[in-house]
Order: sequence, then structure tokens, then C-alpha cells
Amino acid sequence: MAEAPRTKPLDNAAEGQRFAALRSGFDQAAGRSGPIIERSFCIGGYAVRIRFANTGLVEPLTLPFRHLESAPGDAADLTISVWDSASSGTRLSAAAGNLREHHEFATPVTSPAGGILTAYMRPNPGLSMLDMHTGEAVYWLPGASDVAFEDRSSPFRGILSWWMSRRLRQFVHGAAVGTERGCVLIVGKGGSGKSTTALSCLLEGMLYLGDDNCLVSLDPDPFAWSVYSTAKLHAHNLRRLPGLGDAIANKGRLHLEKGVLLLNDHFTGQLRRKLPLLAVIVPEVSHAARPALRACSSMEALTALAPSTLLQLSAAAPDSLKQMAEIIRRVPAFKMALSEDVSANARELRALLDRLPVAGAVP
Amino acid sequence: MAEPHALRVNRPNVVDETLDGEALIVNLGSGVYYSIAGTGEVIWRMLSQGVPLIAVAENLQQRFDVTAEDASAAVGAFAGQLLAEELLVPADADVADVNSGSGTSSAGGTRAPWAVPELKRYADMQDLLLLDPVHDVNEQGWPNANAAPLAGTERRG
Repeated sequence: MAEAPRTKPLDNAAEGQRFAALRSGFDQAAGRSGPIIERSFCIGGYAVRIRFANTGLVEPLTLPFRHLESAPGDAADLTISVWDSASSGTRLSAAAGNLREHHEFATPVTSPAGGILTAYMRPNPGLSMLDMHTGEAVYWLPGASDVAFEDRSSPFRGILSWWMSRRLRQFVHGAAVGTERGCVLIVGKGGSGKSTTALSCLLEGMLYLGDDNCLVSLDPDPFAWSVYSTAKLHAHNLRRLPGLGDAIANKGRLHLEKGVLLLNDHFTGQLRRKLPLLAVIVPEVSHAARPALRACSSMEALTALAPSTLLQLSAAAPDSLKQMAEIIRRVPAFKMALSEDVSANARELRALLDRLPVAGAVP
Repeated sequence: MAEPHALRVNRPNVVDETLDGEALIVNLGSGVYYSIAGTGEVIWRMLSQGVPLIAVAENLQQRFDVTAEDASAAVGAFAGQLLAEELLVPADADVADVNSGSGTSSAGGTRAPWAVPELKRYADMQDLLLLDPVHDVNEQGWPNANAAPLAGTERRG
């Protein structure tokens, strides 16, 4: 298959016009649909306001952030305006669209100065645009019924990852679970056991930051931040974790897609916004009766983390890989041969967390 | 094809990072990633900083137990691989000094054992880039999807 360039520089002015048109579409849609609905969240330590032109998209696109909800009215660092054409009868203008051009070059399209980023988060039909300079973003969908699987579990991933990565909050493809002392970041490609391990830790009473996407930062010590209070798991793995049954939001669609778990209503006390990051875990599926941990190199951990993170996120910041490496340099890394006994895996991680030193702690 | 004088990293499509003497290189355009250790990492470091190929070979001969011919052949072959994978591209101008960040030569000291540089290539995450709805839309174009479900569009977990 011919490889299309992953980025296509466009003229700044043209991108500015597209952004203005997309934002104007939001204003028109809101004018037709009624008062704007706003929700405020604290994500990665920043105030994020999400504005909806109408009600249809509010619940599906904010449920995953409910554990991060903050008081309305706070000044926002990032504002995301959300609208769809079908609910409001507002068409995407030609200026905002020209979608075919974007589409043929895959995602993302980046203005030369890096000020405006545009992307489709495949296979989601939504269009994301972010003006990095103003902290304004717009998210458009053809209709409220077009909320894709990815949107229900991890909405606005493109916008959030772009914006956060330029504030030294790196969006990563990994799970994070822990105790009050701190957390481990579980990294690896799909099928390596990240979600199953994170959810087994949740069922063992441990704290939860995420199963697939988290933010990591140096503040100045390593930290992991929660973004979504959701989890995704194949049906066959859900059967290994029967305690999660009540949290499955899409029970009728498990033959088509992974189960989406909404954890906020069922595990409220175990969700955290942020924990010190104490170690990186690279899981390996095994059929051993007991889990086994062994130290591994920083490069093994970075290789498990970085390619899948960078290739899943469109328009990763130029220094995203460097940011991930900086954090991995600061914490020990372990390979973990996972046991068939998922509870034993959780207990092994809890025991590891109990003995790992906490950065900045007085010995 | 004439051998290029010097090379540079094919940014922004290519990102790289070195930890403990091993380089991880990700080609964001192709979805393929690579690791290079040992002599390969030394060569990568110099080439990516624009050190001319001939100077890289000379540097290697000073540092490693290798003949000038073998060093030159290894650098040429390795650079060819890096070019073929589009990790490096010919540099236009402004080549770097051979000693810029390339480590010290061992003039007068013991030369390290030589090993032919190896580029390890991993394509197991290419599918993350191949979820392209360009091929999953109907004749009306995006965002009108084909009636058939998007094949293989479930994300890795």
C-alpha cells in the first residue's frame, strides 16, 4: 500500500478560515437549538470547558469525564465547542469542510506554524480542530447518532492530546492503577493485558486512573493523571472479571465491539485524578499459575510505550517521544509475566507498590 | 545512484530517542519502528547529526577494531538501509563536525570490538495507521460510510 504522508502542511490563513467557519457553525447551531450547555472539568490539572450547541451529545461525550467535573464558571484554559449538523439543521460550510482534501491525506493536517490542528480520529466521523494559540477547539459530528465507539469511551482524544502535550502533559497509551502511595503505568500494545490487569486491580480495591489512555508529566517528579473513567474490554475478558457486570454500558453490543465500562457510578471512591508514578510495567501474557516480575531496561519500557502511543495519536508533539523517555528514565521498569489468576496479578502489583520508594519521600 | 555526502533525519515523519546506548526510531508515516544498538547506534547518532559518511567511517575505524574498508562498507550499507526506510534523507547543506555528539574517538587507546551494525525493524503496529476510512466510504465520499461495517476498525486495547 502506498504510504500517504501523515502530515500535510497547509496555509495558515486557509486553516484559520476553516476554523472560523467551523466555530461559526457552532454559533449557528446553538442559535437554532437553544441555550448553550456547558460542563467544566479539571483534566491534567487544567480547566477544560466543554460547550454543547444542543443536548443530544452532552451525556455520551461527558460521562467519561464525570470524575473530573469541576465547578462551573471557572476560567477555562481549553474550551471545546461541540455541535452536529443533524440536530441543528446546520450544514458544515464549504470553508470548514473541504473534507476530501483533509481526508485524502489522512490525519492530521497541521498549519505551518503549528497553530491550528485538524484531524479526523479514524474511524470516528468527527472533525476536530484546535487553535493552539487561543485554546479554542471545535468538534463536529454529522449527527448526534454518529457518536462512535471511540467517542463513548475516550472523547476528544485528539484535541486533548494535542493541547496537553504542548503543556508537558503527555497523553500515553497505557493503564494506570495504584494505591495511595502512587501508581504503576502499564504499557504495551493491544492484547498485552493492560486493561484486564488494570480492571483486576480495581476489583481488588486499588485506585484507578485509566485502562487505555492517561496523561503523564514531570511536576517535577513523575505523575500519572486520569483522563477517562471508562474502560474497554473484550467480552471474553469481561467473563474473567464478573464483578464489573453492572458497569457495562453496551451490553447489547458485545458481539460487535468491546464492552465499554462506565466506572464512575460503581467505583467512585477508587477513581483518582492524579497519583505519583512509581514504576512502568510491561505485561506479558503467560499461562503461569503465579505472576512474575523482573526488572527490565528503560528502552524495553519505552519501546512498549512509545510506538503505540505515537501511532495512535495524530499530530503528536515533536518532542512527545522525548517527554516519554524523560519520564521513563525517572522510574524503574519491570516486565510482568501475567498469571491466569487475575487477582494474583493485582496483588503482585500492590506488593510492588508497597516496596517502591516514593520520589521526594523522606527515608 | 551517487552516495549522498551527508544525511539528516526525515523529520517530522521520523522521531527518535536514545536510552542507554540504544536508539528507538519511529516512522510516523509508515507506522514502522526500529531499534539500533551497538555500532549501529553510534553510526545513527553521527549520521543523524549530519556528519558526512566518509567522516563517520573514519571515526569508526579509530574507535573500533575494524579496517577502513570494512568500516566504509558498513557505513554505506547501513546508510542505504536508513535511506530505504526513509528514516534519513540527503542533507542539503551544512554538514556537522565529526565530533559533534558522536562520542570521543579512542586515538591511542584500545579500540572496541567491532560488530556489523544492525537495524531491527518492527511492523507490528502498522495496522494503527491502516485504519483509513478513505477506503471505507461510499461513492458520495466522506463521511458517508459503506453499508458494510468498517473492517478491522476496532482499536487495540
